[in-house]
Amino acid sequence: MPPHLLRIPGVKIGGIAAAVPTESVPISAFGEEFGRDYIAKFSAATGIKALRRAAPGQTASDLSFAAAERLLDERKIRRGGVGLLIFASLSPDYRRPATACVLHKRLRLSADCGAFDLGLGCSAYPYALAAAASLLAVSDAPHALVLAGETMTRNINRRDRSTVMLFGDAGSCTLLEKEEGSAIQALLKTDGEGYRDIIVPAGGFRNPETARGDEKCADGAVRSLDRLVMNGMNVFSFSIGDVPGAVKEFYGATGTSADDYDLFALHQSNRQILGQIAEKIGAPAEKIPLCLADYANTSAASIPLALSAALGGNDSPDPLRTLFCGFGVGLSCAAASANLVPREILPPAETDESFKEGEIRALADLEE
Amino acid sequence: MDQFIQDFAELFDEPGRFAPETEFKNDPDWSSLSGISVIAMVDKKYGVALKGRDIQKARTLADLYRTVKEKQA
Repeated sequence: MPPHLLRIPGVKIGGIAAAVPTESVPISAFGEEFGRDYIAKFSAATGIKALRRAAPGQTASDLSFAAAERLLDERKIRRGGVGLLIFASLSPDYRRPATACVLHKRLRLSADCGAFDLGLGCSAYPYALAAAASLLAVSDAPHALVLAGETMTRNINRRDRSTVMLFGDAGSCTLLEKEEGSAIQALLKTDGEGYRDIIVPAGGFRNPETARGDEKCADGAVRSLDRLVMNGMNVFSFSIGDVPGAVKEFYGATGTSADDYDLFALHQSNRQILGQIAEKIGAPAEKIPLCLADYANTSAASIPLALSAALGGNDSPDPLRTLFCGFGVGLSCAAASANLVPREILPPAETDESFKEGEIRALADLEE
Repeated sequence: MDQFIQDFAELFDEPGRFAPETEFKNDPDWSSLSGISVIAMVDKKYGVALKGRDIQKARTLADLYRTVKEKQA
């Protein structure tokens, strides 16, 4: 059977912005705890040299909000024309409501606007593009927003040497617009068998108790049920096998090949994985934006952040044919294609601001 | 088999110590990063995708080599 390709006509990407917190933590800072030797090997394999850590009280939605405000202002978008907001993240502000509703208020969008969260991690960006573009294509609204952000540093156990240096915090906003003749295509894939390969087992409704002690695992790393537990070998195997397989399926379904793309916007998992994927999908290194060294893996935000870091400040009006691929927790993977105009992409901004009104620390804070 | 042992050993700083009967996960230099290097090497040189459980199940390098051959078949 041919793959279930999504063909979404009349929609284009009209801008991207990203935001990161100001605190940059160099990987060398972990040398004392995990040993310089381990750090050197880790950095050589992953390409990670530093990560950003959110300020106290700052959330993924704060970072994404900052990116969205800037993008809407710079691109002079009328807020009443935004008919949809998707917040793509596994770092919500609350157990409920959807963080998209909080962002809807903060961005002063109109009541005539759908807003919901999309709960995926490293694959979330192309998924959210596909979802938002599909809805926009059949909507009367001119604009949709995808905000993708994560505070991964809060999802990991700080004593887990296998993950603590891998992830950083960031937020982003991508604007989708109607344009006749444009098109976005996407292929969405899932390997549910791998649901345990990247998991935070406690804190959901199957296992609500979050207070858990640390355990030392067979590989020497310290982990706990209330933080991210990753089967690195399975995730690696998925990333270098299934993921390039999905991109090749996407080539087949769209009748394209690597030569048809100017840019390969791949999830910034780590350098070793990216190198293997690039080789298999025929993507030359100079066409792959990389931001691992400065920002590490920022999960849902990694693709827009890499594009913002690589293209922000470039005032070229010429569209770049771009292939997107996100993959990770799920296990889940998506490939997509769209054109990007470099001058519509803003460089990363820094912010430590957070939404004070949202810090509800006592029930009295909820009284009107 | 000899070639496989050599390819495996090259992933480590001092490659002389590996043989078919080596219980590789007991090696002092073994870590989850090594597992990933092994998966990468097998993918590149033998064209098959090992999963984490393939490595967990194998006790010796001979076991691991057998798994690779089975996947190739």
